[in-house]
Amino acid sequence: MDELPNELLACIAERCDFTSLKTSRLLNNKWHAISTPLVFEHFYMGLFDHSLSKLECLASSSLAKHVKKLTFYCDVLPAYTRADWEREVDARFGHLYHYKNDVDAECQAYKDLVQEQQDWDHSQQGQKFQDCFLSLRNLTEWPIWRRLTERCLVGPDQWKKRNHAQPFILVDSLDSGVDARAALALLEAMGERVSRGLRPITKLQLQLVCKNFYFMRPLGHDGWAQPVPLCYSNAVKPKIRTAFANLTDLSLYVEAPFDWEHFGGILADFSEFLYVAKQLRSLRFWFEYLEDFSGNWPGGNRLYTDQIGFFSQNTVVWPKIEHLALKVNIPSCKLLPFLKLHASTLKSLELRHMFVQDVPLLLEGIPGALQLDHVYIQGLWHYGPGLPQEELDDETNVCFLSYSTDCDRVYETWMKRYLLRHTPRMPDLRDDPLVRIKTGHGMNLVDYEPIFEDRTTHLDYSSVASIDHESPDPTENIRRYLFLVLSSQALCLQCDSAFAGVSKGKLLTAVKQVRFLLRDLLWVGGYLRHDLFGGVVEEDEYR
Amino acid sequence: MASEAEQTVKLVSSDNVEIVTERKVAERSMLIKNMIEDLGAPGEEPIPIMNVSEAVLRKVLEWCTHHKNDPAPSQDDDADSRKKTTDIEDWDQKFMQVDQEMLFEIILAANYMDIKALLDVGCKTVANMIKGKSPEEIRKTFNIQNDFTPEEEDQIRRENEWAEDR
Repeated sequence: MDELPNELLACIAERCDFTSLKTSRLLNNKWHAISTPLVFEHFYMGLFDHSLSKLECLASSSLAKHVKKLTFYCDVLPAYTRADWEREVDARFGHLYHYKNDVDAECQAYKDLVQEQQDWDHSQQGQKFQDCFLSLRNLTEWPIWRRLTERCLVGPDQWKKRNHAQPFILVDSLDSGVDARAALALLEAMGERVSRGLRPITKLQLQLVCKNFYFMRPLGHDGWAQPVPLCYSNAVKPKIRTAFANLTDLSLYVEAPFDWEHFGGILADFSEFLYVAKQLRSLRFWFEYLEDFSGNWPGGNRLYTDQIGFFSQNTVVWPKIEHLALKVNIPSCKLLPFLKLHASTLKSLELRHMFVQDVPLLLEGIPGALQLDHVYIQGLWHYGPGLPQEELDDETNVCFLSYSTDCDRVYETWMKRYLLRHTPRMPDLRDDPLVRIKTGHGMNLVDYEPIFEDRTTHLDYSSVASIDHESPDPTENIRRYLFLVLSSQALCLQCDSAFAGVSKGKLLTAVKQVRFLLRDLLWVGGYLRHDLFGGVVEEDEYR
Repeated sequence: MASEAEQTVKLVSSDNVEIVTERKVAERSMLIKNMIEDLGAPGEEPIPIMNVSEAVLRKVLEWCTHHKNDPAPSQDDDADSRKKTTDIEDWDQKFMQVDQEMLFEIILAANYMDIKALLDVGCKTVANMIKGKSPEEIRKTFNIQNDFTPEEEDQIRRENEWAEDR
């Protein structure tokens, strides 16, 4: 192998897994030179003293020049009791647990890690981190947990899987502010780099996620834990502003805690920092919400948008923005003008799982506001008045584009074409699959433009009309639907009502009779399950 | 004049053996494809493949024949995601069951002849041979001379501790 030129040894190294790369550093000087940059180009750490020690060693060595990317995990270990820890031991290490006698030592290892996190202090560890960060001059998943989980047998997989149905007190006193401590250390260090004339960080992925927030012990008067937002002194704020001012790519992901008032504070913080990020070309701004939209929110129907001040601006906020991906609740009347302000540069838009006041207005208005090269929209929940269709008048929460604009079906494809200005006519929103199911509205295929021209020329529209929903024998209906699937990809059919009243047994018999057709249709298996059979037929049953 | 699909080309190995093959097969190699385009008269002029012996060239052409109908490599063919996976098709795995000397000759030839997909398969094969082995086992497998002092080895092991396993 030694005869291969370095260029080809590098090709081999690029295809090695990480452990092999580390091993190959030990082979000889030639391999050492090739593998070393790949081993250290991405440094991972958690909010632990031992992580910080490794960073200190690395930052003070000649290897620091290889670090181009740093991931700082903010995950917080729950302070389990011994009994809770034993219950949560990772099944992958279960066999070790049963045969090893040092259970006490393993439990203690876990408690030591919890203590390490609780002892993380911004003025000490935070300062050390900042110093190390400044030494990584070329700095431009959860691996951190692998070794730790082997040590203490419990990791995020365990505490994440618990649910509300298992009432469980995790901690004596939960300080979810540890999340913010990691973020604060990172942001402050980024600002400090600029003040010292070092190359600024231009790309940042910041996640503020408390993975166990579902299980927090009730602490506050309203029954929920009290998360602590970013807490910083006035001296730190300018550093963070400087850090944001140099960013060109930012992914900001925040998981919403229960406490709305504090969360509003976090939003206001980031809103202020984002406002100064004038170099941004790409922004992913995601706020993960609880799925409980029952109206029992302590904050009522505010939907957090009050704190995101820049959406109300009447001047351009990000003069260079090209890609904007949002997952944040905002009314159309604010979002549309905001998008329009950035029309000269904004060519790529993604909107995911948002509560939007007046979705129809937003969808209709996007092509007028922007000339996009790329668009992706999924799961826009409408609230408030504004649905023109009288069938939907009584609907309070209707979800549009639940299958996303990338879905290869007539309605979604047409919507995407409309949003990209490829067609002037917006599809009828009542044909949105979820809306259709809610209202019983039938999709009118004849009105649709021939998007899949090579297929639609063979589409037999009469099959749609001839389907007899009352038929006691559904076999023929299935055949016709399958024909439509084959010939047009027109999957947006009124499938849910097609089999109404047909017993499961009868439907299964019918499906078996057309098995040969289904076999040929495996490529649309997903659609068949969900749309054609509406979940009645399990995958195994028609295989 | 024969259609492009029927055209053949003459290749000449480094040991001066002439091999005739379909143009479509030969054009899996970007080196040959570009030479054919430059020469303008495929089939007439023999194309010298100077760095590749007959045995290796025949082996490479065997691979090209099997993959002659594969789609042309896309722009993102060098994407990290493709490199990271060590999955190799069954046929390619069998094809690469050769002695080490031939394996490295194929990699060298793929690189010289600019056949990215074959280079990828060859490098992945070697990467898979490295996987799960200790440094000593790898050295033994590939006859690699250890030129580190014990102190240097200790230092590298310490440095490796700074990078978390993934």
